Amino acid sequence: MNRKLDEKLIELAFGDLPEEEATRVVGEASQDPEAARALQDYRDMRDGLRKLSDIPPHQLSNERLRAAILNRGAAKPARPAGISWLWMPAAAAVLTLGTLMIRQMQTPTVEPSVAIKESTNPLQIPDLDVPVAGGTTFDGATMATKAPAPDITESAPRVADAPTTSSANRIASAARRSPRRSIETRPKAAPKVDDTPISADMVALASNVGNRIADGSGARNEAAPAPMTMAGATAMRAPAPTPKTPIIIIEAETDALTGAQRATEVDNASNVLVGG
Amino acid sequence: MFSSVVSVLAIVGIVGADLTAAEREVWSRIEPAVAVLNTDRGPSFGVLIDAGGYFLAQKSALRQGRVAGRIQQREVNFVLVATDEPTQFMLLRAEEWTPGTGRIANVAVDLNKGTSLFVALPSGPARAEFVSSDRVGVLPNSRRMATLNEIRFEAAAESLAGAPVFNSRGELVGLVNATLTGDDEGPRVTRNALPEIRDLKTLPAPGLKRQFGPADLTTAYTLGPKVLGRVVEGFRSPERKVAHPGIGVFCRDATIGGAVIDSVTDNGPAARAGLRPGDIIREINGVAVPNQFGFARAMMDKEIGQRISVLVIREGMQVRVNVVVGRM
Repeated sequence: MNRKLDEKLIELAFGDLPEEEATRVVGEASQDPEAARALQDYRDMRDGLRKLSDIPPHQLSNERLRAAILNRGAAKPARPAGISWLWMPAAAAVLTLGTLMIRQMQTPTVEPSVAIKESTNPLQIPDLDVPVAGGTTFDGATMATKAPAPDITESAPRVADAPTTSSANRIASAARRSPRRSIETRPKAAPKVDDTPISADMVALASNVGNRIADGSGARNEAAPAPMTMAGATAMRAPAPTPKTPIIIIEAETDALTGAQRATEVDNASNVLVGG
Repeated sequence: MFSSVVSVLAIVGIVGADLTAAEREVWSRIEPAVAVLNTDRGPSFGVLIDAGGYFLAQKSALRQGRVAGRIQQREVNFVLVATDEPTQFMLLRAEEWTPGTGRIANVAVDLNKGTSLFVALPSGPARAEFVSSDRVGVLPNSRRMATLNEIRFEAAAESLAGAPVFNSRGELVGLVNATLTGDDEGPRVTRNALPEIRDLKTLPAPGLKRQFGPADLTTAYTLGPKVLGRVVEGFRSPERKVAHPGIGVFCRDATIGGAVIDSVTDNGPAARAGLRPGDIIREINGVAVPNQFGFARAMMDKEIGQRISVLVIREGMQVRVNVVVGRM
């Protein structure tokens, strides 16, 4: 497309051409896809400029706009990119960070290590070599089990309705705030998994100490579960965070003005001693 | 000092200057339950809870074991009968008490946000507003967790400790335990105004609407109705003792979740059941315990004599312990 036609297209878009010439230029543009695109671009630019709310319509000067465009070399306005190229690395960084944070917050489950070896059966289904307690392995056909897994809970545990805690600070230096804000949950550190089996002595000790009923009858708790390994104990997920509720700490000292004990709302309730 | 205080109160008659006529009428029916105590910290209050002349007072406002005071224009001497350390409430008995004197106050159990209240202050009764009953607080010394009522009332800087709060039916909402501290370490006040008390069931509401303020509003806390009712019931008992349920442990939050036992009360229910410092409480009666507040919340609705199943982590092992909730 030549420069002269480009100039005509600009004048056409901004309504500066006489009717006869405008008709001719429209006809020429319709024959040239490039010219048609340029004309539409110029019309879009004109509409966009007219929508500028801070400039009254009567102050918009078609001549000034056209002159500005022509002085710039009447370069074809770049078709605006649908999306900036910068979004891709930014999105990748956000996704990576989010994934890392989610993984850090999740308590790792202890899963038995599984070694998959090549199958020799006609169906090409790989055999799983899964170690169980005692070190024995099993194949898919014969599954030798040890004592049944201990019944940790008698029913699905419900999350108690209690406030969450966050990290650091004793009550003496508990952060005070105004206005009242929620208590944030502190991400729990993932406990170290220890598969050390428990000795018989420790089992007996736990059974003797833990199962005594405190009513003096000396009877044992018939429903006591078997002690677990460290891996089993820590595999039990920590209860999920509970709804946030402000905690009021009433101090022993009194307010000099009111004579009443001082109450403070804390948003950092970690390490607060509670009796019950 | 005592005579001057009595004289001032006699003139004022514990009548709020800012209350409407209808409100003063209601207060005149509540007032017979309130005794004014002349303590070394200034005027404080006791509330009649028993026909034998027993009054409930807040320990923060009273240090001596004997105090003089007034009830219905009559001078009375009060002696300390019992103290409930966990809640810091005291039971006083009026000497030479005539049965039938005064008006016994019962504990209010049904409160809604926005309910209009009366609070007795040294300067006279003031209107108050019930804000919430879902506040949870940790009490000093005993470190027990209890539900708190949050109220707001118009008050200048004056002695508020132990100030009784009533609803318009004359039921006791509580005695002011604590006031909310602001960032400047002083009482936190908000600039606002409380409308006049309109829910006066026994009297027709005045036709003229009046708005008071702007005035400073103080945020204060009283013990919730459950614990307050337990205290009143205990003080009314022949033993004049309050029985709070508990197992005798102090806990903090455990890093792996749960409540780690910091100490165990000697010969308490937890000690007898075999719980030890370092044990991490993870469940009570099948309900997960996320931290020390979860433990305290779980204990709040337990009763004395109730058997609970406590799951703890001890040296990496899960141990389930049965504990009988005792009287603490």
